[in-house]
Formats: sequence, C-alpha cells, structure tokens
Amino acid sequence: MSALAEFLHMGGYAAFVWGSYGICAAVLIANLLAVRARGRRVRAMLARRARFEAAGYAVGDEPAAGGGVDAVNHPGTGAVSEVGRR
Amino acid sequence: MTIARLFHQFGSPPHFYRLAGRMLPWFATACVACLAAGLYGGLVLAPPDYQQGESYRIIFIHVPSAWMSLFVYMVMAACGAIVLIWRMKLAEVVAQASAPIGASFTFMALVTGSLWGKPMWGTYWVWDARLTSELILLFLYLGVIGLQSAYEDRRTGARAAAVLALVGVVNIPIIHYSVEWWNTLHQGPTVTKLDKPSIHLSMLVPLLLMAVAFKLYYATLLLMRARSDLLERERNAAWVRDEVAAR
Amino acid sequence: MSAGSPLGAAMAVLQRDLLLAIRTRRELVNPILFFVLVVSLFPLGVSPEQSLLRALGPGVLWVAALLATLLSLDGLFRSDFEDGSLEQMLISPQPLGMLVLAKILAHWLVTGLPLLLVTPLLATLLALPDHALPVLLTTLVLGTPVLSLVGAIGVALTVGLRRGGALLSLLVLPLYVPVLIFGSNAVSSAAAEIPVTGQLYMLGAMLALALTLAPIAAAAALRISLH
Repeated sequence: MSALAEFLHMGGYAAFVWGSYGICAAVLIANLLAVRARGRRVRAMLARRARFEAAGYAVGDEPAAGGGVDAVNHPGTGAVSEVGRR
Repeated sequence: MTIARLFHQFGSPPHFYRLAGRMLPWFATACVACLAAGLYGGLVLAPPDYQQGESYRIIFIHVPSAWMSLFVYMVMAACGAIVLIWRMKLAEVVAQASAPIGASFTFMALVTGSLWGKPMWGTYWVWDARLTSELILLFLYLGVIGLQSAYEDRRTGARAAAVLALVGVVNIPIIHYSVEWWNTLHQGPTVTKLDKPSIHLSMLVPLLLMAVAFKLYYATLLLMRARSDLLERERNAAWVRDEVAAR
Repeated sequence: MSAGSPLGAAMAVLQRDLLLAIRTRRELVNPILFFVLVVSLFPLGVSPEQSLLRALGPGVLWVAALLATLLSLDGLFRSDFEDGSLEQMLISPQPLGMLVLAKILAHWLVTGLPLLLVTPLLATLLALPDHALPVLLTTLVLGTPVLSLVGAIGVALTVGLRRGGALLSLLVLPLYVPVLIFGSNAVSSAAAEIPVTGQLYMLGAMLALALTLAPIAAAAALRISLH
C-alpha cells in the first residue's frame, strides 16, 4: 500500500476520522460563509441608501432596531409588524 | 478613569471598525497557519495511539471544540453582563455573534465525540457525562439563539438573551456536576476519554495548535461580524457615510 | 403591616393572585389532570409489569411533574400582562423582585402544591414501595418550587412575545436537568433503601439558590421584555 493510501485508510478508521474532520470543516466553512454573506448584504444595503440619497430622496431615520438587513430583504413586513407588536 | 476611557475608545464604533479592519488579516493568517500546522502535526506526525490506533486522531478536533463550546459561552455571558450593566453596543454585537459560533462548536464536539465513540464503545451514543453535558449546553445555546431572534427589536433581544446567558452560567456548573454524579451512579462505559495520566508531547503540541487555531477562527469571525453589524446599526452616522463613499 | 412596605405589597399581590386562582378553579385543576394523565399513559405505553414500573416510576413521576409545571408556567404573568397590571407593577415604587417572588409563590401554591395531593395515588399506580413515598413527597416539596422559580425567568423573558410557548420550553427545560436528576434519583434510592440525605441537601441548596437569585433575574427579564 502506498503511503498516501495508508494515510487515507487511517488504520481502518477512515470513515470515522475523515467523517468527523469533514463535518467540522463543513460547519466551520458554513459559519464563515454566513458571516460573509451578512457583511455583503449590509454593504449592498448601504450602497443602495447612498444611491437613493444621491438621487435626492430623503433617507430617513428608519427604526434602527429590527429593521436593517432583514427588513430590506422583506420590504413592508418590518413596518407592519412594528405596528402589530404593541 | 483610565479604564472608562479605554472602554469608551474601544467601544467607539468608528475606532473599533478601523481597528478591526486592520487586525482582521493578521488574525485570519495566524488562524490558517495554526490550523495547517496542527493538522499536519496531528494527522501525519503524531504516532498512532497504542490502544486506540488511528481513531484517536479525532481528539485533535473533538477536544478543542469542547473547550471552545464552554469558552464561547463564557465570553457570551461576560458580554451579556456588560450589556446589562453598561449597555455597551459592542458587547451586544459580540454576544449576538458568539451564539451561533458557540452552538457550532458544541455541535462539532457532539458529532466528533459520537464518531469517536463508535469504534471505542461500539455505539454512536452512550450517555457519557461529557457528551450529556455537551448536549445540554447545545440546548442552552439554542435557547439563547431562539430568544435573540424572537424579538423584533434587536436590542431588546440582545438584552433578553444576555439575561438568559447569565442564568445559564450560574447553571452550567450545577448541570455539569449533577450530570457527572448521575453518570458515576449509573456506571456507564468505563472508557474515560483523555483521562490518561500524561499525553505525549507529539500529541499535545498539535492539540494545543488546533485549540489556538479555533480561538483565532472565533476571533476572526467575531471581527467580521462586528464590523458589518456596526455598519448596519450606525447606518445614519457620518462615519458610515464616509466609509461607504470611500469605497 | 402597611400596604406601603415592600413586604405589605408582596402580601397584597399574593392575596390577590390566590383569590383570582380560587375564583377561576380551572387553573387549579389543569396541572393536576395533566400530571395524572401523563403518568397513567406510561404503563399503557411501556408495560404494566410491576418490576418495570417500579424501576421507571421515580423518573416518570418527576418528568410528569416537570411537564405539568412547564404547562402551567405560561399563566404566571399572562393575564397580568394582558390587562396591564404587570406594567403597573413595573412602575410601582416597590421592589419588583419582591412582587415577582410573591407572584411565583402564589403560582406554586396553586399549581405546584396540588400535585402533592395526587402523588400518593400515582405512586401506587406505578408500584412505588410505600417507604419511598415520604421521600418522593419531600423531593417534590423541595423541587417543584425550584421549577416555578427558574421557570419564572423563562416566562418573564417570553411574556411579551406572541408565540412564546415553544420557546419557553427550550429556555427552561435544560435548566431543569439538575432538579430532575437529584429528585428522581432520591426517590429511586429510597425505593432501594439507600440513604438519600445527600440528594435532599442538594435539592435544598438549589432551592435556596433559586429563591435568592431567580426573583432578581425574573424582575430584570420583565423590565427588558416589556420595555
């Protein structure tokens, strides 16, 4: 058996060893991607606001809380639920 | 006085945003370097265990994950205390960003523990004290995440989750020792993991490297998330407009 | 004792809550019914064999008591939240922790204590030996207040939410683990005639801890979630 094959074989425990390393890698990468996607959404939102402002629209002081990225993706829901809450 | 000033300066959003931006590449690079060294040392250099053969190599991710699962909870709870006492925004961001990462580490510790248990115990799950504690810790994390997202007002959610995290911190030692006690009574499998009297240096070094790599990964993700959250929260502030315009 | 003192205010809250509970008897009966039903389902689901029931009994009784408490928790602040009296308590000059403690005590008196009344019956159904019954009752007396106290924090955190029910169980159940472990273990040890003072001391210590910290945490949680 070549050295590489032996390494991959892990003394018969390949499924367990590589399985756990694989799952961990997947979880860590998924976390990283989620954080990056969030950052992109925020930057896109800010760029949109900057364009709006440049076009002469008033960018008001939207409710800072609860709105933001999530509200931008679902226009309208933020305002409705804000009213329905209390 | 100086501590208050330090707090103020560190907590000042534009200052932190720029500082984090400068630190980010260093943290990421150091994380990748430690990860590579740890993986090489653990998977290639370290000799097989005389009892467990190659399967023991799972500890190089299992043990650091388990350490991180508690460490992240402690950070989250400490930030929760800061949120409740000083209402510092940065601590809110850190606490909110920590919850999913901590839950991920807890999940990793559970999955790797069970995959390690299969060759050791012949079954994927035994009600071993450590695995059981990790499972309950995962539930605690899920509660914090659920509470954070249940409130429409993000700051209220952060404060509510802070209370829960602090209650959890008081409970974690009680849960841990009660589970441990319960486990000794029911005499589970006697294979105690990693309770060896001494661990060989060729195994210890990769283990510590992996632990450092996981810490750096956590720090990197925190900085990334904190930066984007700060931009979002402060979107009407002048410094954010400058940042956006500068791009 | 004047109504102006913190203790007087707490007594007033306690009196009011007890009166309300007695006038709407439904709340008194529901947890008991639930407790009895859950316990009687177990022999049907598992096996009516005496030795098996004897082994499972302590755990089943404790899990059922825990779920019955969880079920009743939602009513702790709900009606006061809906009619606005909770906000009155928040802005009252009295220490909120005392008022919350009074509410928790009232809640335990109407939902936790009645469980003890049916426990001897259920212990018989589960073939628990007679000499274990006093220990079972003692663990419930010490343990169920802890469940109410810790649960109150969870309810306080979710009372302002429209769909807090499912979240509440996720928040509260993991925190109940130590009580469950020591409570059910004390009962099964007693059934096997092993001394149980250690477990009872632990339950007592948890009760003392919960009694001091939980009202403060629940008060802080109420201030946040009703903000």
